[in-house]
Amino acid sequence: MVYKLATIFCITLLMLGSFGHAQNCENTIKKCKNPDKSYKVSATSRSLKMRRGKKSRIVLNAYQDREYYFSAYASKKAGRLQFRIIDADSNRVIYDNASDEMSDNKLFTVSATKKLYIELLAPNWVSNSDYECAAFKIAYRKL
Amino acid sequence: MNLYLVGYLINTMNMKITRFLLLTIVAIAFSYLTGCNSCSSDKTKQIEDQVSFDEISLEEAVEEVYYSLPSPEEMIDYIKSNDVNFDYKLLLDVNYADSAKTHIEKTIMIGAYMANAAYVSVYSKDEFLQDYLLVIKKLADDIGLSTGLSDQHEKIMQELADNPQAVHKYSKVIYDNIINYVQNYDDGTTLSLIFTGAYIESLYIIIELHPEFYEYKQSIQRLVEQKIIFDDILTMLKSTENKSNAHVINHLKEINDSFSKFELKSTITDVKKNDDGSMQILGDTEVQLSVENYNEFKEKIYSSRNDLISN
Repeated sequence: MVYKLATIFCITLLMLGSFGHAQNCENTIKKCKNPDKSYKVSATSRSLKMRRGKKSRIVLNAYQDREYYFSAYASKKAGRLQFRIIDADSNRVIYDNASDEMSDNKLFTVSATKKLYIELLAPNWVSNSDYECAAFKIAYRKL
Repeated sequence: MNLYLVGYLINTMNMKITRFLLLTIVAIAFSYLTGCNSCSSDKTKQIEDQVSFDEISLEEAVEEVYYSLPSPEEMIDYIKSNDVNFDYKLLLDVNYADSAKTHIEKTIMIGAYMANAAYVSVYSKDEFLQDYLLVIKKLADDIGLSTGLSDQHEKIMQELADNPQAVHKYSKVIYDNIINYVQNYDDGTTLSLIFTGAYIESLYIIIELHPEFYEYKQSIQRLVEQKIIFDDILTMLKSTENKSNAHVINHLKEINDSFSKFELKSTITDVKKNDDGSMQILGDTEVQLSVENYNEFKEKIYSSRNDLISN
């Protein structure tokens, strides 16, 4: 009887071990850095699940004469995030935080309304889970 | 005899407890090792997992695409000329909400009322805002969308009675909460339908505010720039295309065709780094505007609005 109970207990522990990574990422956005109060945070800022070796792309329609604040966060296991700002029409990379000490935020202005891609990647992944929690925040203000 | 039996039982129990403890330790150790991120096996994995953008530059490597579309308030505020005044006759009657019967109709109406809430917010016409918030909340409740405020309804009503300015705060909270909710729990269908309603209604309001082509050319150019947003809404909706939303997609395709006649071209001419580390993305926008194309575009917006929103 004791042995049976022990077996059930162990199996339960093993199951808990394997499901330990089924985490809810919903509140990860709270860990993104915030701009000062003069910016309005976009409702499309969000938490997400980053997958090992995969990019996430944010399509940002940036309005003329606005200043944008972008910040990104990922759990320690995903490592510091790399992000690139790309001209959606020409695919030209405008900014890469790899050349900016992997800064986790960037401020930029746009003088003509433009579609931009912001691509996120976790190049220093140390997790053995398939995904880890991450988030990005976009805020803007009029110039 | 009794003592011998007790001794035997204790011995047997000890063996079982020992086995139990051993199994537990093995299980915990296994569980820990499989979840561990700082152990040596993972360090090996870290080296294997080092990736760069260049290695995964193929489109297939993009796991998920997130659309950051401007809110209706941001859009109306961006386009409207400083010379145009608020016109209450443009406001969508809150009673139209009752004519929405299906899930799709109600979802589109949520977007349309969000656009009206945005319009009155931009002009600080607080007296209209509360009715819009209530109708948005009712429609959202009908289709099971969380506004995150259901359990605080009475408290909010009291706060609004005491301080009418608080209506602005709740206008943003409701918009943000609904968008966050559908982003987290929906496959994209609901979000694209809300945006469809919001943008068609916003464009209708903007067109009505700027009826004279030559007088408001700058605002009309800004209106045409919204094509880049429509492209995204259409892409989002097409990715969840089915029989029930096919007619909505057809309307968006027709609006998109009208947009395309303006020949919008936006280019980045230079990128400058400021001393404080911020960046300037400099560019030009070229738009081929004509009265004929603008009139055709207006007609398309009117007919789509009549069919999807105010019918």
